[in-house]
Amino acid sequence: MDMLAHVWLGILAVFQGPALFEIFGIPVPVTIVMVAGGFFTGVLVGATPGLAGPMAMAVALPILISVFGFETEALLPVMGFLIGIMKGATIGGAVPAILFNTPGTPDAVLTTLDGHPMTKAGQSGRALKVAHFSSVSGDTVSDIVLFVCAPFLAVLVERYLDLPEKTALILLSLAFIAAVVGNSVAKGLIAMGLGMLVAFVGTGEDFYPRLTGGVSWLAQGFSIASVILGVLIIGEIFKSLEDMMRERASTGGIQQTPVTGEAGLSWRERVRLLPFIGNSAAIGTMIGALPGIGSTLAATLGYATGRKLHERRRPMGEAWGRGAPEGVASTEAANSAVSGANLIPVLSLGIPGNAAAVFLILATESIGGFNPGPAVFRVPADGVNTEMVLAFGIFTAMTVANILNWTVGGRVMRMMAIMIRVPKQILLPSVLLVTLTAIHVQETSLKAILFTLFFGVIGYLFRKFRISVLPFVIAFILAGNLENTARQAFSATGGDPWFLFSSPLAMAFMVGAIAVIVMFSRRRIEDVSE
Amino acid sequence: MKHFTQDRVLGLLVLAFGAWITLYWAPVDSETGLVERLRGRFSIGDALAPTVAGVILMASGAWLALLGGKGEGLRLANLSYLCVLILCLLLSIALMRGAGPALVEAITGAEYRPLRDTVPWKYFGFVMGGTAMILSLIVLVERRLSWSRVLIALGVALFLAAFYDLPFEDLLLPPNGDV
Repeated sequence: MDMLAHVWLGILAVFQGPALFEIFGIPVPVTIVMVAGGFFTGVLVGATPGLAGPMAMAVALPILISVFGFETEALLPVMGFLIGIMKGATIGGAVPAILFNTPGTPDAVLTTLDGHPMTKAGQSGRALKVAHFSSVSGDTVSDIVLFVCAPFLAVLVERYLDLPEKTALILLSLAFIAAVVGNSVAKGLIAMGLGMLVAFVGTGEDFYPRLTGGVSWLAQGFSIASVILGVLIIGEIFKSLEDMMRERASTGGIQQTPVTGEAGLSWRERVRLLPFIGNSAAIGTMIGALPGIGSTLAATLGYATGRKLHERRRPMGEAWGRGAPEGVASTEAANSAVSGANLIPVLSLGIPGNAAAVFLILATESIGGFNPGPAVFRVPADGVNTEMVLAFGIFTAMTVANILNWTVGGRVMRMMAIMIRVPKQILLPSVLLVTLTAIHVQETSLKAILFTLFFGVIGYLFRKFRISVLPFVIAFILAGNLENTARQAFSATGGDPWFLFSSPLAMAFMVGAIAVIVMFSRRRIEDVSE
Repeated sequence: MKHFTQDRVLGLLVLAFGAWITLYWAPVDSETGLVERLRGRFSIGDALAPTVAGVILMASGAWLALLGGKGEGLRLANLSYLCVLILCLLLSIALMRGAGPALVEAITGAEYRPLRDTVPWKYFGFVMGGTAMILSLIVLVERRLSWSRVLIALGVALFLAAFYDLPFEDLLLPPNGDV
């Protein structure tokens, strides 16, 4: 069966899957309902200052697994919901930035530069429409690149990479993430080393669980949910609570600004925004395809290049940084374009590039039957590759989310402006309890809650020392895979200690890993010495 | 300059930790060494991967100690906040763990475990501990206690108990998984 037949089966898996209910006798597939549910949840979460898509994904995952179980049939509804959150949160993030000058994420800071002046000029409705149009356009471009590139990249990886090359590729990815993320390569490597170390506790091939010191409750290792949720979510909550505590003297409640002004965005204006959107979408997609770089750099580059474009064209008249719709469009298109392209390394290599991708990997690991990596897109000589069908089912779910985004996303986004009224000092402790409850639901043990809090403290300390948590989390996820691949490669090469340099490609990856560390460390040394 | 020094200290601590892993913990606390020879074939032992992690920590720690960085660093105020936060959380979890069994014992004289998935007992520990957790963190931020915050914390805990428990029959609220 060829790849196109698998594409068709993937589409059918979504639209002819089990029905949740019927409308006028027409069955509504459960995956579609879950994508819609996730999407609305994502917009709500994105529009709430202090919350982010990965938080909602973390809380939702254990509940989804409890509802749908661990069978392969659960994968599409669960992934559909998570993808819906990811996409909804992307557009929702612009709401507090534009209306209230309170960016929920670092990349939304750039949205405030032109978005909030538009609000102050009585054009908040228009600013939200610009943000929505640009965000959805960037996301759609990025998804199309994902759909086309991921299968071909995976086929290339499968055809040309053997075990030593795959080991070297994982090392290159880890080196890249450690070097690129955060403000110091040394700190990135520390995070990476610690993530690997935590992953190795209680695992291995021998009967004795290594690095446990004979302590029985460490014998199973640390649960993936406790480590990831602790470092990513609980650590962030601890830090945010402290920030609020320190700022409480200066805050006198949240100022509420109604959504007013010119709400329309004509087609002519949309066409004028297209060069800015296209430019930023291309930047966001390229950056998104590289693991670990993230949407902040994409938004920054999109905004900077958009500014140069604006100097030449200035199509809508407003000054850059003082309420130019092109500024909002450049930022939103760039940061939204990261989300789809970020799944290219996930699906073709099994390497997550950002926090949202981490939770998608976590879902596949929890459910089983789908192992992201090059084998997913292997075309079988005969029969069906169910993993490829599921991958195209996931692409179909993404397309459904995009359609929702284009059709009702803007209206939902504007409705969610009400979330700004929820005080963060109430919201964040509630999210903490939700997360700990979600951990207990999955692990049914108070020990898991205590582990999660422990890793929350680690996450807090990382943030205080400005160590990025992403290399830690990604190294934790990839460490087991790295060790297994290295073991197999070592055995397959007859115990060659230089197996990582046994072929030109493996050697190129290793040289690349060293080069990326050296290159970025030289830049950072200059930064520190300045 | 102060933060610069903190990063150097952090680098030295990581260097020492990495050395301890590489030279002591990984070889002593793993059943097999770096490389094993079994029936004439070489294979990677369980100690190799943690040793690699230790070497990465040593190298990166030395690097940070040498060059320093731009970290915000830890101040005494951060540590005292962290201690109070952890205390609030641990007390709330202790309340969550103990409230249900204590109430059952006081009212029925029976053991909690057979009743841990029955109404109303299964909610008691979660609602008490959850309310305490949310309320204590709100008070930590706002530095004041008010009835409205007590009601909000209680409302959130009750909502979450209902949210997790009512639609899903097989889910156990904390702490009922291991009491």
